[in-house]
Amino acid sequence: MVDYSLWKRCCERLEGELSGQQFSTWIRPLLAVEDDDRVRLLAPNRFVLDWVRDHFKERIEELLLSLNNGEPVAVELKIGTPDENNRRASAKGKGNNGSGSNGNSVLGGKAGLVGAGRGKSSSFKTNLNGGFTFDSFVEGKSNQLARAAAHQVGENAGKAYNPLFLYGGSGLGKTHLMHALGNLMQEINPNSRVLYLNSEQFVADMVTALQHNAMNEFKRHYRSVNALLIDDIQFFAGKERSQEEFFHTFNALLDSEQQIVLTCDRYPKEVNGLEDRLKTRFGWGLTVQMEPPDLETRVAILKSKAKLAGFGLNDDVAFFLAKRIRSNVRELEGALRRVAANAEFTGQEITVDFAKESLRDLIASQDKMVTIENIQKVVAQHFRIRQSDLLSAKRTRSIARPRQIAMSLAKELTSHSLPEIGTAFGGRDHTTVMHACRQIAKLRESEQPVAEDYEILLRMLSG
Amino acid sequence: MTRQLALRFPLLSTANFADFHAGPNQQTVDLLRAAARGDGPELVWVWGASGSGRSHLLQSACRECDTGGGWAIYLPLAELAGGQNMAALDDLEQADLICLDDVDRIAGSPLWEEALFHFHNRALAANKRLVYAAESPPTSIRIALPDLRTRCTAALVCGLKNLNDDDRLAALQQRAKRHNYELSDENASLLLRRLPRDLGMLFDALATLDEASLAQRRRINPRLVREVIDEITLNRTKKDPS
Repeated sequence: MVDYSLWKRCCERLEGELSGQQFSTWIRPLLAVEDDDRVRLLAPNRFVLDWVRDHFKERIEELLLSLNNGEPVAVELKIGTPDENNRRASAKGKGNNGSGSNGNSVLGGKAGLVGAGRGKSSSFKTNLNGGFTFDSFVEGKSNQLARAAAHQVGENAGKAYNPLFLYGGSGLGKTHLMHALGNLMQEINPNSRVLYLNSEQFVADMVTALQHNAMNEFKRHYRSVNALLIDDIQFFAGKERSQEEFFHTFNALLDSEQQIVLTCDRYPKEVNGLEDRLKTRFGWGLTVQMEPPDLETRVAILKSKAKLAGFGLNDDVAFFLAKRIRSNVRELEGALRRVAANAEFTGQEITVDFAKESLRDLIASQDKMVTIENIQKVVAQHFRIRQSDLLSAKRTRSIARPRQIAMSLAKELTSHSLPEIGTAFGGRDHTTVMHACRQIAKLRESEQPVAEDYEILLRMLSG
Repeated sequence: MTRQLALRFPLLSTANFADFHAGPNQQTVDLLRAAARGDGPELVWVWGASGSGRSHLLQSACRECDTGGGWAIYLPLAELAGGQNMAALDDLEQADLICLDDVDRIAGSPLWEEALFHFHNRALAANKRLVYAAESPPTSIRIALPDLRTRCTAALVCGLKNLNDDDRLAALQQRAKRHNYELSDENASLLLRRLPRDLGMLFDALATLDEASLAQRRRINPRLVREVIDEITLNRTKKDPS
């Protein structure tokens, strides 16, 4: 039997020989498992295993030989991890100062291995996140249609809108709605087999099934569900074999009136690398776009998230944050986390000044990115004109309108004064900038294309 | 100056929170300690310039997680980003804490970005704690994949603040203690006054000083400190004559 302390002592020696980074990266994550006459080292994946074998195995063997009084110790490298029940007691390549490391258990513990790859359970797992419900979803103009459709599907799975296809930019709540409708289905019928997964997992499962000659099992599994919810199907692009398999799964589920819900970052027809027959089928049910939330919705989202986290957020702070961060809900959450963490750490009340101070670095880095020159460049590209046209004296509508939009964006996104903005646009007067800003504000109310262009540019520049 | 091979101090090779003089960064240390225990936000993003202690903190968190009986993985992406090494992220979500250093180094690589995106989703779905580190906050990094970019912006972002000279001096003395010797105010000030004040470089100087003291069997005094400073300066000039 291998001496329990052997691997620990080997780690101590390696820690002295290697750089901290090397030790932390390659040696510390290895788990050592008790075995009769060998040290079995478990690496988290093939990459780490190969690296350790190529760079350190020889040295490990030398050290073990010397530490074991000249008796050779076999070293076996495998991919795997002790199962959850045994992990905390299992042997690990720990640090050498004994500060909390579990001494003689370095090779102790009966570590049952799970195979390489993700652990699979034989019982059905929905993968649904119980925290994503319709109650916790904040509804606004930008997402009310998607919410209503998802709710309908949740109540009438397989009957209303099949498939339901939700698309829109990242961080706008598509995944939340998907989980929410899945949770609703389960609430209505606790026995329903609702399966949520990311497209990557579908691909990975199929690859594993192919490797293990288990395609029939794979097909049975995916075709036996009552609802299949697949997130981010844009990642199917270019993966022909996966698309083929998904196509048949899709048909089988639809034929048997089981529900399919898909999300994507764009309209199905715009996904390059996706087969036409899939694109066509995605449009058979209902396709709904989710748009970035407006100011009031962003405020409501912030207040709802603060409430969930157990702290209050007054309107002034919520509006301050919502005005600063427009692009997506995740960034709003990040900002809220930062402010809340600072409040907890310092014990101070959350005011606008406190929020400003908490986000100072973040805001500064954003401000640094958005320059007038950058705005001019992005606007010129968007309208397919030359950047120099924006600075010129030309007054044709195709030039003047983008110039006004660029000026208005410069006022909104930078802290430059109006005279500075005027100067940056070919030496114009500050009153011209004021006129441009007023004009664009008016047009955004009355002309949809102007409003859309402005929103797109705003997101491109501040996202 | 001739140099003999000196003994190394294995205790110093891997990072430890005890070696880190937090100064104005105590909150970041607290958050990383919470992550090491499996508490706190699911994703912490630590950013700071080179030499600010990012890697040290991430490795310390891994060490603390390990000593608490968890399983932590540290991966420096700068070492891997040059090649198609995305498989390094496979199955890492099995660990309790995963710390990815130099995340900014994979920005702009479609394959790496997609691999990180999928890893990120798997890890959070498995309720694991993630710590990412980079030179800038997530909003300033040119990640092309929107799905990954927005996920990174959801992190609790912690910028590492520069230490002032008092803190630097205390950090040097704290580090010297880990080498089992006292560094006087006078000697520490000498290092601070005459060398670049980047902490990484100052710690390297401390190691050189320690080695010189051992190799030459001399006490660390201002004279030895000056000699080591001169040697370091000379080496730097040779490397970069400009």
